[in-house]
This record gives sequence, structure tokens and C-alpha cells, in this order.
Amino acid sequence: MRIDHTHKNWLVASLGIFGVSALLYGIYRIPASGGSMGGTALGLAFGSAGLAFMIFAALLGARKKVPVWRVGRAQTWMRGHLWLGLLSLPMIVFHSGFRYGHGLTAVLMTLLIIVVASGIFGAALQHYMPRVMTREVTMETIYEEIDHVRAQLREEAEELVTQATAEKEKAAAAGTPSSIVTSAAAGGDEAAPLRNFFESELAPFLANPSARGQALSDAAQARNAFAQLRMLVPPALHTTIEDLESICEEERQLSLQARLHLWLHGWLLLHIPLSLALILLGAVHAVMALRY
Amino acid sequence: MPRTRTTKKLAQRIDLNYFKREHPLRHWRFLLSVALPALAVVWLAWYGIRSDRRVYSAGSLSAAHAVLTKQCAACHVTQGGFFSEKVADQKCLACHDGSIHHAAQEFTPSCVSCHTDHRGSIRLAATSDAACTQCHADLRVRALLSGGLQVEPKLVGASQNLVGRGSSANFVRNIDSFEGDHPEFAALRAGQKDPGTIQLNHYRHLQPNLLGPNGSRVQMVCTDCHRSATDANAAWPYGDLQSETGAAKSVSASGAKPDPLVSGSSRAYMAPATFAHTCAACHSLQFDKRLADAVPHDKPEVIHPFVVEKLQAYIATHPADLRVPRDPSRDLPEKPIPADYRLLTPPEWVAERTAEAEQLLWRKTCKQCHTLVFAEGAALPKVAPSNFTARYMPHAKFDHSQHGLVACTSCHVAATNSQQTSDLLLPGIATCRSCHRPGTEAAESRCFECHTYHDPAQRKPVHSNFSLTDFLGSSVPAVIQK
Amino acid sequence: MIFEELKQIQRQPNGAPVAAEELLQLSVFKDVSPQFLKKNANATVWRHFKRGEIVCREGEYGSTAFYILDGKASVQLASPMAHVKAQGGPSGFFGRLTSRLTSRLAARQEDRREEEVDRRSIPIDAPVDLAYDHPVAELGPGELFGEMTCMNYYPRSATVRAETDCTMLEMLRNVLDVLQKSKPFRAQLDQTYRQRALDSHLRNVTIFRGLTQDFIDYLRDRVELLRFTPGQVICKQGEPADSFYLVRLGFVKISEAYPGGELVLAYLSRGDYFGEIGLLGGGGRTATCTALDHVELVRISAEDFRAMVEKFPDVRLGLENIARERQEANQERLRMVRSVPLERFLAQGLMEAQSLLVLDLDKCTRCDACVTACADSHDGVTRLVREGLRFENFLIATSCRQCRDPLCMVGCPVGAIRRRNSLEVIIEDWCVGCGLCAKNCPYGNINLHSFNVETEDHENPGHKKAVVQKKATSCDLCTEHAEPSCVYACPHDAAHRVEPRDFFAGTLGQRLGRAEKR
Repeated sequence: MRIDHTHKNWLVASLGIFGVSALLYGIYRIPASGGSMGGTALGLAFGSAGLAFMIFAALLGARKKVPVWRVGRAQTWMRGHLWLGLLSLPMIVFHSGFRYGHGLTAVLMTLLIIVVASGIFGAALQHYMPRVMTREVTMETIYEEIDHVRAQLREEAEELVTQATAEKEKAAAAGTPSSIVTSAAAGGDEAAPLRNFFESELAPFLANPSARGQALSDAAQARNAFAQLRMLVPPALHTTIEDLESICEEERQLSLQARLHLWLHGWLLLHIPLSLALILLGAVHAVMALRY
Repeated sequence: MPRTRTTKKLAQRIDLNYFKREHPLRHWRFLLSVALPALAVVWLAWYGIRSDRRVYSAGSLSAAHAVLTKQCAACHVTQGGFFSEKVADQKCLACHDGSIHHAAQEFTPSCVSCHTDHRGSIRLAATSDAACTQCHADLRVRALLSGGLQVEPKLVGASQNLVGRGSSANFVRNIDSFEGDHPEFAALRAGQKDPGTIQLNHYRHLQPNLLGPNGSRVQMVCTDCHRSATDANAAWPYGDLQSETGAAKSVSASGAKPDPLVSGSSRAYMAPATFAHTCAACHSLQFDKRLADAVPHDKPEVIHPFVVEKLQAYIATHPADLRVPRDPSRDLPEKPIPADYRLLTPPEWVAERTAEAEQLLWRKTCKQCHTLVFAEGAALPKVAPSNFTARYMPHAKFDHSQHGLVACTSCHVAATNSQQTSDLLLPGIATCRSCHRPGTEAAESRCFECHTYHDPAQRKPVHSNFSLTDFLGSSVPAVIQK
Repeated sequence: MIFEELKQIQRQPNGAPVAAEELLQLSVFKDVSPQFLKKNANATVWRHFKRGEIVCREGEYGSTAFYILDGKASVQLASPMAHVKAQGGPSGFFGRLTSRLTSRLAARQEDRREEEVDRRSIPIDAPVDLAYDHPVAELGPGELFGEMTCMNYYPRSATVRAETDCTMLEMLRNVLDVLQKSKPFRAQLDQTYRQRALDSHLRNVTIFRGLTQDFIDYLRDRVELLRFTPGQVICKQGEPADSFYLVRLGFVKISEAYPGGELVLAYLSRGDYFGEIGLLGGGGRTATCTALDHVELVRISAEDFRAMVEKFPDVRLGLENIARERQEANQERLRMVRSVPLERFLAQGLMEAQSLLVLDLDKCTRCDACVTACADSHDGVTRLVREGLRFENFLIATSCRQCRDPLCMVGCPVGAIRRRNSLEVIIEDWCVGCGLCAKNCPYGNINLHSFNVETEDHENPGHKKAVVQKKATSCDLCTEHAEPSCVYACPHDAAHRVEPRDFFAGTLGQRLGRAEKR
């Protein structure tokens, strides 16, 4: 989510909660340094607030599973997720009294730090990356459909080449004595370079755009390759080449999109599972800590 | 025709059910979301199977309890089902005596509310100030109608800080912290004087070139006189071992019950200075120039027979002294001039010399330090008790040996200039606070540093019935297992 | 009359061409030239149907019309009367908690649409309309059905089943075309229409509901039935207004000329009416009306119209309101065309849209929450594709734009796709799944989805059978909610449903202003 001026209220509220908490902690803690924090009334309050924030943050995932429920707009939840999730860290740090903990609590603290850190990382990515993606990938499609779209691009390219070749052949066939001047030397197959190019370069590239060492996977090299190809074929085929070039461009953009998409959503592979583990262990900790 | 992109073309490339299919990214997210929490559960279950609950512990146990690390049940008691296994006082009291703090305290907190364990290797006695200030920040006491404590509820509730109990003792209602609201020590509050009766001029004694034993010149230092009971056995530069017997008697004769903290083997407190150890070498108790003997440092009732006996023995061996020559310097004008000498019987001589000696003792030698009371009709004076104060602060602990790194006079600043016994030389709370203040670069300033919650006077011995196996389980060495 | 004629005709086997002589014996063919009939000897065939046999099925494409000679046939909508149910019924929070969303069609009985009261019958390609609550009607000898399919090649609008053993003539377009010009035939059709359909036709229009039976009987003989061929102008902008029209068949385009072009204001179809603005205003026509295909209109003369509005003040009030609304909407559109002359904006057809689903790509993380939300609120079928062209940094997602000029509505054989009083275009329950609207939508916003449904098994009465039913779906703006689900579910504040002109004019205007300053 983009962090912009619309977050002002959340920012102010979060700073407020943080300020009040820090103040409470300071008032409570400074005169009596030492001693465990978690078990005191204020410590429990911090702990509960932290856990509540974490659970709320985790509920965003549940909220996304039932998008039709009218239980608050998803973006409100998202804002809550961002800010309250962030606040859970100071809450827990206050709860722990700036101690790392022992056994389960140490694991919890580690998890929390990783989860919050990955969250901040993800939030930063989701703040910047969409703009990068919008700028760099103008021909983007739906990530899950990239393979499907690629298959269609392959078909389209094949179709274009077949068509061009067929037309040329027809023209060559029709071009009886009157067109001897133009096509006699070429042996009637002016589209051959195109066909060759398609078979040797384009088709492999379209079939496996991520393979290394392909000229077409680089924009500049691709431009050169197509420029050379243009010189080899008659002008009538140039529109076809243009189309093929645009297909290549789209192909490259889709590769880039897939990469950017992994950045945008890959961090969730860490964030979500760890946060689930965190909440699970957090609940165990709450029960056990109150028990002993 | 060049390739064109239209909304419809773009949209129709998309399979409308794509979002229902599993995609690697989502697939992995799901797998990990199941696997990681499952891993967490397995981790906990691993501890659960070994019934090792240390993983839930908030921290390692204090050094004193470390041996109980695996014996949760030694302290934790199942109370009301699964969800409470807290530490019960009865478990603490099985090994420790928690004597009551004060007869008038409003409530008795549970042990763990002050002594919280599982905080690493710390001292459990080092409780937080909050434990004390939960009462002392706004002290309310129960009225005790019987017993020595008379509380006037009105005064307790009143806003004034000092609340009178009887006429002498004062206590303060709201103390938040040592550095904050803690009052000046009671002994030093306005108008307070040292109740001691021994005339001592610290200033004079600390002058250079004092006339020392055997005509030597000396410079005295604090430790010449002020030592703990433990160090009392070392050599005293100004002691006189001949007076030892008297010294012991004089201490016991002070009447008050000996304070174990003072007389005990610690170096915490200075033992009261004794005549034998600190005065005798310079301050001679000779009572007659004819005799080398000095009187013992004891009560007049002991001295009188001693003097008489010594004089009788002397006259028996020196009959010539019965003839007492006139002392012209004592001739009074307008009185007949007495004969040149008088001849006395031995009893007369003893009586006269005794009177002379006692005149010297009671009016000069003893009186130089002691306050003597001459009761009407009594033959001998009474020596007032020394009222020596070994501990000025009965409710707090202090250890001189722990403060050995600083010179005595850097805290007892007034000592070098004090000329009166009534001068209080106890350093004030400000002196303490100069080191004992909050912060990591300062000495401890929490309540427990000086005060003990559990009344030592009420403390009783505890006889626990645990065996080593109770704590160590099977890991008790075979040698011990019979 | 017909029965007598029939007795004279020698029945031929099923599928055999009908001889010209035989046809000529029928009064409806009386005016048709024998030469024509001889030339097109194979264009009319005999059809015999056993009781219960299906004559034609809804949704099928065809090119013939049927003329009933003998027996009775029932017309019905076999498609379940249902729409793709959107979530948000009265089930309450816990109901929604427990019930998992699945793809299903909600039967109309269990989930009535809000505006249903406005329509009480479904227009079909026959002289009768079908009642909404019981979509079955009966056709008898002398009646013609399948005209629209035959003339305009629209899909069949209903299923016709032989109620008794029947004999019919199935004819191709050329025959029907000639027949249409034949006076006796027309007279017969007109007669049928006046007797059987005018009542329901008038009563189906909300504002005419107040008409008394007397008045309808009075109108019965006074209305004129008119036919128009594709492209024929019905009335021109600026001409004096002399009549009021009800659309009986086909589609009428209402357009207004403006400098540099023509602006389509509306497409009218069966059950719609026009001409009231001119009559009520007392002036000329405010717009040009053109027949888009073979159109049949019911014309009420200015005189009768005035009589009607005088006699029934409710009708007058209703008409006046509608007229005012239409005029305001038209004004608005014209003004808009003049105010935002942006080529790309126009090229993408954004101007025509009333509501766009835009995704701010600078905020969108491509998480697809909007699509899942759409699918979840529409029984697992998404009506939104997160793909399309961009305008500025906005993706114009593929989701119904609620065009001012809804091309999709043109040609719907059953008039199932229509516009509500509010702006959204909805697909009614009786959609037969022919897919014409999806083909017509220039933006790919209508999709056909297959559903498994249970219907009455006609071969095995009393039992149900599972059939695959196609239904067209398009964004319904989640009208049961305050906000469309896709927008509601966007966690990144990227998805918005916007009025394109308001939304873009501001930013475009600013940008233009800045460019000019430089």
C-alpha cells in the first residue's frame, strides 16, 4: 500500500499510542528499575495490547478470504494492519521490559522482529514497486496468466510468420514472367530469412524466454537483430517484423513483470508463515505465562 | 495491419477461471503457512513429550534456586485446574521464614509479589521499590489497640508528613524512593543531640603532637579508637592490657542489651570504644603519687575498697609516712600555725589519704570524662551511663567495612572540628545520596539496600524435611543413595 | 376461417416442401404471386409435431419462422428463471459465516430482484408476451412465431413445444418477407396482435398501468401497426411531432445530431416507447429515431395520445417525468461531448462510459483481491478481468462500463439485457445464454459462464435433470451494497469505480493547464 498523506490520521494515532505507552512505561519503570515487566499489571496490558495488535494484523489475511463480508473496507484493514502491526513491536518490547527473553519468549521475540522487519520491508516494496512496475512494464498482464498469455503470443507469432510466408509464396507463384526482375534472383522465397530467423531465434526465445544467452532477451540486441532482419526481407514484410518485434518486447516485459511480481509478493512467503507461527506461539505463551 | 491492443483483445486472452487454479507462489505460501506453525507445534510438543517445561520459563532461576531448575513442582502448585500453576507461599515457607514486617501493616503480600524468580541469576532479596512503596508511598496502618503501638487514626490520615507515635518516634507516611521523599535520618533531625555522656573532644584528640604514652608525641587517627568488634582483638596503639579486665566489665556494665550486629563478628559496625583499648595509655588513673598503681576503670564502689586496700598495704610497709610534715603552702592566713608535723595512726592516715585520693578521682580524673552524680547522704558518687550509641539507625543496616574505600572523615566530616560530645557526627542522608542514587554509574539506591522487610527480631528457624532426591531426582550421586 | 382452409389442403409428410398451389389456397398467401412461390418452392416446408415435441429451443440460432396451421403449441422459457445470484441476501452475518459461496443460480422465487415489479412479462418473438410469474403461453392456428429470428437472425427467444399434435409451415426469410407485404397476412397478424397482445403490451409499460379496459378497447382499433426495414428513419429531429410509438419488435436507435457527428442517446427495444417529448412539448421531434433492424411499432396518433393524457392524469404525470429525465440526460451528454475533447480518452471509449472500474497502478500491488472479491460475491464467477488498456497511470479494468450507448443491448432476442432506472446495465433472469451481447460488447465486459442447473425433464415428467446452462454475466455494480465488492476489497486504495468524466476531467484539465503555461 502506498504510504501517503491519507495515512496521516493513522500516523498520528499510532504516534499517540506509542507516546502514551512510552510515557506509561517510563513513569512506571524508571523509579523501579529491574524486576520482570511482563507479569506486572502494566506489563500484561502491554502484552495484551501487543497480542491484540498482532491478531488484528493477522486477521487481514482472514479478511481477504471473505472479501464480500461488509466488515470494514479492505483498505481500512490494511492501514490498521500496517500501523497496528508496527505498533505491536514497541508494545511487546515494553511488555518485555527491553529484555530478549528466554526459551519460548526468546523465540517469540526473534519471530516478532523478523515478522515486523519483513513487514516493513514488504511495505516499502509495495510502496515503491508498483510505480516501477507501472513505468517499466507497460504491457503487463495478470501474473498468474503470464504463461497462458505467452502461449498465445507464441501462436500469434507463428501465425504471423506462416501468413507472411504463405503470402510471399502466393505472390511468387502468381509472379510469373512479369515479375522476373524482382524475384528471379531470390529464387521466389523472399520470406526465407524471416522463416529462418523465426526458427533459429524467435521461436526458441518465445518458447523459453528465461534461457540465457539469447539475443532477444536483451532490448538493444533485439533491436539490432530485427534491424538486420529488415535489411534481408522486402519492405512488404516489414509490418510483420514490426509485429514480431512488439511480441518480443511484450515477452521481455512479461519476464520483467514476473520478476517484479516476485519481489512484490515474495516476501510474503516469509511474513505470513512466520506471523502465523508467532501468533500460535504467542497464544501458547499467554496461556502458559498466566498459568505459572 | 499492425498489432493493436484493445481492451477486448486483452481481456479475452485471460482464462476467466485463472484465479481458481493453484499458482506456485500461492501454493508455497500455503505450504509454508501450514509448515511453519506446524514446526512450532512440533517444537513445543518435543518439550511436552519430555515434560520439560523450561521452555515456558521466563528466565533462569536465581542462583539460590538454580538447583530446582527441573523441579517445577518444588515451587509451583496446581491451583484450580490446568490454568493456574502459580507459586504458593506455603512452598516458600517450607524452606524460608518470612517473619512479619510490622504488627500494624495493612496486609501481607504474597512472597512472589516481591521476590520474583526466573529473572536470571539475581538476588531474590533485591526487591523492587514498588514492593515497599505500595504501602510506604501512602502509608496506612491498622490501628492496634492492644500492644505497644497506639495509632491515632486521625493523624494517620492527615496530610502532614510526620506522624507522631507516642512522643518520641516519628514516622513518615509517604516515601516514594530513597532519592526522593526519604526523610533525613531520625537521629539527625532538627534539635537532635548525641545523648552520650562521655566528655570527648574529637578536635583536641586529632591535634598533632599530642602527649602520648611515656612522654612520646603522637598523631591520632580515627581507627586508633573506632574499630569493629571483630578487629578489637588486634593490637591497639593506645591500649593498656592491664585495664582489660575492667574494660570488659565496663561494657557489660553499660546496662543495655548488647546489639548482636555491633558485638557480633561482622565488621559492619564500630564497637563502642573502651577505656582499656583507647584511653588507658594516655589517661592514667593513678590516685596517689606514693603508689604506682592506678585504680581500675570501674564503678566508685569498686574503686573505693581498692584505694583503701592499697593505702593500708602501703602504710603497713612504710610506717614512717605516719608522720605527716606540715605543708607551708597550705597554711591559711589568720589561723594559728600548726605544728611542724603531725603523727597519725595508720587508720587515720588511710582515711586521710583515701579522702585525698577520692577527691582527686571524683573531682578530676574521672570527672574529666564521666558525669558523676553525688547523691545526698551517699558516700560515693554514681557514674552516669555513657549512653553510647552504637547504631544510630535501628531500622536500617549499614556496613562500615563496605565503605572502606573512603576515608572516615570524608563522610564524618564534622568529626575533626567537633569539641562537644553532644555533636552528632553521623553523616546525613545527603552524604549517602552522593553515591547511592539511581542510574547505572551509582551505588544501589533501592530500599532493600538498607532496610530489611522481614523483622529480624521475629525471625524463627525453619526445619525443612526435604531430601536431596526431592530436588535432584535420579541425578543424586550413587554415593549418597544408600 | 383457417380451419376451413385447412380441410382443403392435402397434408404432406414432414419436411416435404409445400407446393405453391397448396400455399395459394391459404388466405394469407392470397396476395403472393404464384411465380414467386414457384421459384422459392423449397423455402416453405411442412412440419408435423407430435404432442410434446420441441419445435425450437431458446438460444438456438435459426433462420426460419413458423406458421401454425393446426394444433396448439406452448411457448415457454425453459431456462431457469434465475440470475447469477449476487451475495448479500438477508441471511445475516452468521448465515454468511457458515455458508460457503458456490457457483449457483438463484431461483427467482427465493431471490427477487428489486425492480421486478416494473416488468410483468417477458417480450418474446411471438404475438404473445410471457408472464413473468408463469412464463408459458399458448399459440394456436393462424399464429406466426420466430419472426425476429427469421428476419434479423437473432437467436430463438423461447422454447416452443407442441401441446397437441400440430402442423406448421416453416418458412425462410424470403417467404416471410413477401408474406409481410401481403395485405391479408398483415391484416391477420395485426388482428392477432390487437386481440391478443396489445393489452399486455400496454400494461407492461409501467406508466400505462393506469389505463382502463375501456380505453384499451377504444385504442384497439385505432392504433396503427407499422413496419420498418433496417436503417429506415422513423422520424427526424426537427420534424413536427405527430405520434407516439411503442416498440413491438426490433431495436430503435435514438440519436441526436451535433456538430461533427451523431450522438446515440439510446437504443429502444420491445416494451419501450418514444415520441412523448415532442407531443408533450407540443413542438417538433427532439431526436432522430432510426430502425436498427426489422422493427415493428405500434403507433398511437397525436389525437389519441392527447385524449389519453387528458383522461388519465397519472399517465400524463408519468410521461412528463420520463420526458424530463430523458431530456436532462440528453443535455448532459451533449454538454459533456463538448467539454472534454481528448482523443485518447475518446478513442478508448471512456467518454461513453458512465462508470469505470479504474485501478491506480501506482498503488496497485497486483494482489488480485478485487478479482477474488468479485468472484466471491458472484458465486465463484468473476465479472471483472484485471487486464485492459491504461489511461495515464490507471488501468481501465475489464468490467462493465455501463455505457451510455449500450451496444450490448442491441439484438438481445429476449430483451434480457437492459438498463435499470439507475444507470447499471443488468442481465435479467430469462437470459437464454445466446452470447450475442458478449459478442456485441466492444470491451469484452460480458462473459458467458456455464452453470449446472436442474430443470424439469420433459421426456420424463416429474423428474429433474442436470443440464449445462449458459448465462451471460456482467458487472452489476453490486447494487445490493453501497460499494462494489472489488472496490471494497481493495486493500491498497487502488480500485475505484468512477464517473470517467469527473474523474479524469480534473486531472486532464490540470495537466492541460500546466502544459499551456509552459
